[in-house]
Amino acid sequence: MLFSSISYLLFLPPVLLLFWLLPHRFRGALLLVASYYFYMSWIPVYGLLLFVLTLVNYFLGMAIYSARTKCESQLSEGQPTEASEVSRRAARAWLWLGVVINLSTLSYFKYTDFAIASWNKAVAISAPWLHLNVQTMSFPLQHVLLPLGISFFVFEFIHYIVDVYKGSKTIGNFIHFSLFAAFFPSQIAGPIKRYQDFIKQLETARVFSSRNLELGLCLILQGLFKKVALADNLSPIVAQGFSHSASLGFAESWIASLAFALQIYCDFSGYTDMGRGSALMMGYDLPDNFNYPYIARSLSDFWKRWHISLSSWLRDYLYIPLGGSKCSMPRRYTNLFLTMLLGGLWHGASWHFVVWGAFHGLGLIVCHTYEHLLSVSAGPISSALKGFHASLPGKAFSMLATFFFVLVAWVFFRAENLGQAFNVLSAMFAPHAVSTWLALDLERYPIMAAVVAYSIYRLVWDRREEIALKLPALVKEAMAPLWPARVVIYLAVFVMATGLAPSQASPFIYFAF
Amino acid sequence: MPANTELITKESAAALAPKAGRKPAPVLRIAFLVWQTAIYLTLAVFLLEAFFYLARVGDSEHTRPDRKVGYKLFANKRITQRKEGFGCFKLNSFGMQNDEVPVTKAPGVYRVAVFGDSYVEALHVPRKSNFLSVIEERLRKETGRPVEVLNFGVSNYSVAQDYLRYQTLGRQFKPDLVIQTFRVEEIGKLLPVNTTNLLFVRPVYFADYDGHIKYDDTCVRNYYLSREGKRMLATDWLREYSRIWGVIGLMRENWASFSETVKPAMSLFKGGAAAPAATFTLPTDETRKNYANCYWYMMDAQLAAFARDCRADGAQFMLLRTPMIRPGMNELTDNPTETALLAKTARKLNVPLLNLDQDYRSFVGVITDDGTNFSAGGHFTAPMHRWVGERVAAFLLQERLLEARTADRQ
Repeated sequence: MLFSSISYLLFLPPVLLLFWLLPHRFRGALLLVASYYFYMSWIPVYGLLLFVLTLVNYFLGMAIYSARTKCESQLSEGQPTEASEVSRRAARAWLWLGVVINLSTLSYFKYTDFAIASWNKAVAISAPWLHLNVQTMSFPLQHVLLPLGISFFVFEFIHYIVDVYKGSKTIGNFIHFSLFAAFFPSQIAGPIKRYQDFIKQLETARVFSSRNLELGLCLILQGLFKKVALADNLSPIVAQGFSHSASLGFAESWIASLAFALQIYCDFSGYTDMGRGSALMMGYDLPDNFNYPYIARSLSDFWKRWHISLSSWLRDYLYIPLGGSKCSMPRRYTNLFLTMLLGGLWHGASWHFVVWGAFHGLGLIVCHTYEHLLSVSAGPISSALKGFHASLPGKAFSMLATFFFVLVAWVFFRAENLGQAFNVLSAMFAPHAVSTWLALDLERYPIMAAVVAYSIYRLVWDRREEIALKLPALVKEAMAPLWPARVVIYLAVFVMATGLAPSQASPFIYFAF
Repeated sequence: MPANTELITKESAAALAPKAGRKPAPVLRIAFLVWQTAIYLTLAVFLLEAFFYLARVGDSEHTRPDRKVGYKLFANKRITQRKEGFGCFKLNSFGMQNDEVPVTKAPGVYRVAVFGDSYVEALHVPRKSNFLSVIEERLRKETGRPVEVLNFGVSNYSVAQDYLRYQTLGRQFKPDLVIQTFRVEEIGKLLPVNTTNLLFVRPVYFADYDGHIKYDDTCVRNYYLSREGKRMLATDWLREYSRIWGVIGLMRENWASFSETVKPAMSLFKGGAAAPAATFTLPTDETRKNYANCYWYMMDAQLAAFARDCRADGAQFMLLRTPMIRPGMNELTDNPTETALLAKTARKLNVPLLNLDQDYRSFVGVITDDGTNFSAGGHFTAPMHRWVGERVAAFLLQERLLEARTADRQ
């Protein structure tokens, strides 16, 4: 079920109504049923996978907690270190078992065909030299269908068992634990939640607030606009650009890449907005995933603003366990590179995602090295550079340079394979074809109107307090919309978004991950 | 709308409660509420209409009910079509998908009137790229004389409606040549269908075995009396001028297609199987053949009457059979019985027939299309329009239709 579909429009209101009508103790069960219905409306059998994984991780969490607390109590009671060591090892074994189960499940569904295809290709390439029989050494593809949201809920489970191992409490209530993974507003494409925050909210009775309801509705409308008016109108332009990659002209290649940068942001942040809005209408606060990523002034800044819940997960559960930044510089950079490489692979089972991750990894290494050199050197060049970066042109330059890097990296991300990515990049940097403008069919989609409308909205909304200050009190009071006027505004936004939506809706990009 | 939201909890809810103070009288408050809502509503409507106008959104409604022909195109309305391609045009003052054209023909001008359905209407490509423009361009170039090709196409029109359109609109332009396009399975539109979908509201011509035809508009009258028909008539002004209404129309369409998809599931709850949709379909090739053989006399009579009227008005009449792909499918559709019967009628009426269906099959060598020539909805793409236009122009030149006409006039 897509957030931007009629099905969801019919699904959410009754869930909300029931949620607020039911007493607190039944709300968890209601949300769980609703979440499984939401999930199983796609392929029902994958609901079973989610349930089994939930069950396994629930008991693993219990086992880890039990072994860990036993170890702690043995230590506090001054028992022999051997006994506590056994308990500690047991906790660790349970943890590893959990990590292996979760990653194996993810690997099976996500990477089986990738591994087979890569193996087959390697066999085919090396066959002439190694005298291999390609027929006997190749395997047929399994065509495993990827369950929606598996990458997200598997990461949530890993976070849970790791945190329990590290000393956090378990979730005793099975319904709450199931809901942690299945909660429909964040089920398919995140944000990747932290259970400590989420369970606290589940346990506390939510108080009905019309303000939260309205804020949630606003977020849903904002997300809907980003998705259907912006991302869905950009999607065919990007698709046309990348599918004609071999004959793409200079301007077209840049337009296609820029369009994708905008599309992926609007698509993903639109989804997050709708998810957060839906949760907020029930009084739950989900973490935000984006904070104006394209105004980042460095690559590390970009990763603090883009897909925040994933980058913080990668930091906490991959980069830091690998040694993080508390080790030698080469090791630190290796950790950084590995983290980004695996982050790339997490996005999709394909080499172009790996290259995208590696590209970002290398970029981050260069960025960190530059920042390090700037901080340790004290010469005139260093001071001049520091001054430049602090100045307005310097900030603009950093922003543009970061965006430029991210844009180039997106080409690897969007392309269907490395060949296509290199075609687009060669058209961007070494143009060989004349731009015809025809391939992109720009006129067909009302994208410019949507961009202008959204830009005006952002400019006004982000400066609403400054604008309000400049208005006379009487005007301000007369203009402050009361509820019927606000309903008019929301309806107008809904009609605008629907009007701008193309006839063919595109699925959310991150549903594929 | 918020970028960062502040969550309301039990504790903060109390703090947010409005503070007591002097409030205006309830009547004043209600008056203010009404006044403000009206202002916001007016502003919203105005801004949305202006925005949609500039964005060319909500322009797709192009037909209005018509008592005589069932439905026809709006006059002077700007249409923006984004499905299956892109086209943005202003329909002319006669309700034609054509540039403005004077009724009186300038001396020396050769006028071609093309009748047919959405293939002729050609909303999916720019006007300059449709096959009519290609014919005009080619004929002008080849003959060196002024040629005007007029577009009388309307979505989903039947031959009977084309004939009616000729009578009510086309003949006043005094065309020198009338081309009746004939898509595969035109015979499916011969019989009246009671429907609430405007694009299926068709008057019909019944015929006896002697070839006399009788106009029957029962379905149109029924439509006008139906709830949907009344709604259409009541909202005619909005459909013509309001882009917001156009968007609401799209929402209704989306809702209708969504309802269709969930109907089977809903019927399970109601305890019965889903009722089949009340549309006219010919399920098998055998049925198609039998149907064509059985009802062709009606088509024959209509075409004969149309050709007779054209000749009486001093125009030549020609049949054009275009290739067709069913919407959403990739395979060329054909009905060999219909093709044979059409050829027989053309011979009987002594009118030229250009069958592009066969030509297209030989041209592409396969019976499938990968989207290069036909859109996903089954309409011509710009390259296909060019292909059709060039072949029609070549046929007209080859058959010396323009020369014959010039000789007649002399």
